[in-house]
Amino acid sequence: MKKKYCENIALSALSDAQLLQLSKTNVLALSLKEMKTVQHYFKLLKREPTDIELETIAQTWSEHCKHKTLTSPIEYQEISGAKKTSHTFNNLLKETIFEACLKLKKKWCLSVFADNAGIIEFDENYGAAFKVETHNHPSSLEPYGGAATGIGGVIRDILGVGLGAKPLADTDVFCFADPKTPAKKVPQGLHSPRRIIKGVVGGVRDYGNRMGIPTVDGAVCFDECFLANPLVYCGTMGLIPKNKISKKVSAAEFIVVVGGRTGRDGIHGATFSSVKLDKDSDVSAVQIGNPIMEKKVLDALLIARDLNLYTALTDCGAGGLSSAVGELASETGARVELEKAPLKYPGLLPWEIWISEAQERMVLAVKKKNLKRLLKIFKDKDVEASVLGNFTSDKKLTLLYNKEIIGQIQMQFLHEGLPKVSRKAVYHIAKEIKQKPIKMSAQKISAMLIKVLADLNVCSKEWIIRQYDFEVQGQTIVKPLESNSIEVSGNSDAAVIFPYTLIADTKKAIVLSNGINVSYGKINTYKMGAAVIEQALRNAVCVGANIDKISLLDNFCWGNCDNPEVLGSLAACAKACFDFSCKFGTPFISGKDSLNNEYSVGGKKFSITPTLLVSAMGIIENINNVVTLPFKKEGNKIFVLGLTRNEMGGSIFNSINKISDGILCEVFADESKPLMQKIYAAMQLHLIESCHDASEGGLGVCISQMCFCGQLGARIDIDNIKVYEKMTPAEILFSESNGRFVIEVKPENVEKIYKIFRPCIFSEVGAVGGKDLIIESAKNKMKIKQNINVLMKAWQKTLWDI
Amino acid sequence: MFNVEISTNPDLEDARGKAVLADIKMMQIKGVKDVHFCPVYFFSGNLTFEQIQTISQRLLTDAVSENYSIAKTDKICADKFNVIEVYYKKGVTDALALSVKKAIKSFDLDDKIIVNTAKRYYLDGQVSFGALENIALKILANSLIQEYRIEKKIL
Repeated sequence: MKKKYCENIALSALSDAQLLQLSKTNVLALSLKEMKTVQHYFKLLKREPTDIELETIAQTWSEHCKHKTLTSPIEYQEISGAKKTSHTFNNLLKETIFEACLKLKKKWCLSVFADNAGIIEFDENYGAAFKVETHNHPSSLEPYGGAATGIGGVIRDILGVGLGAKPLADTDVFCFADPKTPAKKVPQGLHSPRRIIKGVVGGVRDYGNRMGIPTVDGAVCFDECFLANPLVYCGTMGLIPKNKISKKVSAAEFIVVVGGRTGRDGIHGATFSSVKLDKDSDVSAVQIGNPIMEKKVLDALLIARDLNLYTALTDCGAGGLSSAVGELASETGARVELEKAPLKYPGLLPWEIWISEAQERMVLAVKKKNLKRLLKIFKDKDVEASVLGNFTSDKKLTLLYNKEIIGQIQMQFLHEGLPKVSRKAVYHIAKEIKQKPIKMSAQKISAMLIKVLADLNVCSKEWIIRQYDFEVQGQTIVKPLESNSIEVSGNSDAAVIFPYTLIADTKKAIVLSNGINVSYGKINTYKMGAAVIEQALRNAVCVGANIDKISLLDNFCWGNCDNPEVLGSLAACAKACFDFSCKFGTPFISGKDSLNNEYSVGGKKFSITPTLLVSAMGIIENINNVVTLPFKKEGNKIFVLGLTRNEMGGSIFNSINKISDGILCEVFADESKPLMQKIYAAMQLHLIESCHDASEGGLGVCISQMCFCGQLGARIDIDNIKVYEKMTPAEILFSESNGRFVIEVKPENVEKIYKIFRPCIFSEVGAVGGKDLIIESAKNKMKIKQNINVLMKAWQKTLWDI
Repeated sequence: MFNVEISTNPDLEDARGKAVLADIKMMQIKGVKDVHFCPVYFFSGNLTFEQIQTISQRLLTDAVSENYSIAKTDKICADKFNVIEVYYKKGVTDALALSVKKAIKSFDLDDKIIVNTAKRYYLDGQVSFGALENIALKILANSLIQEYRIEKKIL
């Protein structure tokens, strides 16, 4: 029968080649096996699918929504020299990251991998929700809009978790190419890195600032591999009353869409994020953000939540209404009348309305008795709210336009019908060789320290941070920039949010931190995974988080996983996540992946280095016990905690000096976890004045930063730093071994520190004082002396003239 | 049809203009001596000059740091400067225009008024049309969502 509002797609007679062609032309991003499954389903129904049915299936089955690569069987083979080991994962995600969380059985995990964000316990009444998303493809095409909608989207994830959490802080982590990349090196059809950086930072700034949510924590990595595929990770943390965490849709409840109007923006975003980019990439995949609208939605939603006016909600993200309604109605069924969706302009086809990714929209399930009150609240806040249809009990998704049925699919098929494809994955463990001993004079080490501090991956990100409002809401206790004096600043290890405006009389606070390292991923993704987990944990511990109550989020950004080697590096990294999540006792509670970060132009392929971002959220029991990084007072003693190994592989030092040899730093959780526990214990007794971890750049960078942001010098005896093996002074200062912290202790507390930290590996290495950083070694007859402000200027100036 | 152009008070620094100038220098395009940035609002519908004056004064301009000028044509005056105007493609959401449209409701105006926005950059100096096009494409407009028009200074 001819339909008025949709087209039938003649699928039944298509050959394999034609099926694939159709998938490509219509940007469905479905494989042949998936297309054949769809063909078979409609053959059984003895009819052809309509355009909207095909689009719905493509959206729901997209990599973005179903994470097919991570949840499909993988035949994994690991090759290390002549040794080969094999393992089959039936579901990589479930058997690694999720499994760790199940194994750890932490009672304080309230909602994991089930909702739009992970939730842990904050106190007896509240939970803390955290989510980090990526928005890479849109940001490469339209940096400002892409990044703005990235942050807008993750804020809605927090609004859409449970029955809605109140967003308290944003985080952002970016990976770019060098802003000084010459124009002729930029591939055709791409923006210059400088334009991408400015646009992305502007987008996050304008959206976050206008929403009145502080952007408090982040990181920026630079590497050539991000020239064609910049990475934009946006995160949001919020608090939710414990009795608002669960949601349940019942038949006959209304489907209400609130917020922005639907337009042609962002069509095919979900499927688009699953395809490799080329210079003719689909342009309608770009969305435009409107933070003023989202702020009004937020205000109205929280009022309606507290009056119990809806029973479930979710945000319209990738896939738009199709994903939001499809997800909410997966257990019930839904009947949607698409002509009722308010449009930005006329002329949209029904399927376009259904999958548009127009921003700032949420979908609610509302009982009949509450509808009038709910609509009034939104009207008073000047936000449009429209009834689109209702949930049903027939377990079918029925789509109508002007009373004509234009699509009907069984929920079972939509959500469970996706065929599993077994993939092959191979991981070659690269052999690491120790570099030749690095012998340098005092003068050369001093000059090298300045170079390392000025390196793009170490230098101050103040130019970016100062554009963000990190103070709005007045709850940011440890800020992204910390110092003892107003003219200087150092980079905090982590941010601390003290939510006293929401929860009166609380003493508790939330710590947010992250770990990311691109150069480690080039050498060994297993070690990289371990290192960034520990880095995120160390950062959180430095400001006062309790290691026994930290949760993690994973964000995998990988290249083309159809390539077994690339998929192998992903599986290896996921294994590291399992191993070290278990060893540290820190569960993953949510995550996201962005695969196929590959761009091709003129036959040349640009792929990213595997990059895992680990974000950590911890709880501080007493806000009075937080610690920051600047040295506080002349005469205080300096301790280095942890063991320094000859681990120069992937280090900043190696990249500056173009040294390819070196052992990549390993994580020794049995050494670093007890240290972290003891740091927390010492902080409860106010025995630690300042604390900072050694990561990129090593101990030299770590101590320099503590000096200049405290505007105090220090005298360090490197001979006293505990080393695993014989090392040269340069190696001790620039090795990037994990598990190391530098702490400052008042002379009267030194005894107590010895008592607490024994039998861990640690040593007293010097004292705070003067205006210079002096590093001495009697063994090597060496004295390095550098003014702290010279160090600071080197660290600050790299990004200022961007 | 009216168009309202907002400019920074000449005694104050035009930060947006300066940022664009820095970008142009970074691209090693020579000849541009200064850049002035002016947001532009287009109104069409049932409006009087007095009404548009009120809107300009009370809504669009910060009386301390900005000035406005109202024109009845969208023709760009390029007798002193080269001008590049950037505006959204049809169908792309113009969030700023939506906010203005909401705000003018409080002036008791006809709600059928159409509002659009654009950004105008006045470039001082002798520059070729090709260089202006390069500036438009590489710095000011993203051709994916925006269009631009260039008026080269009348010699």
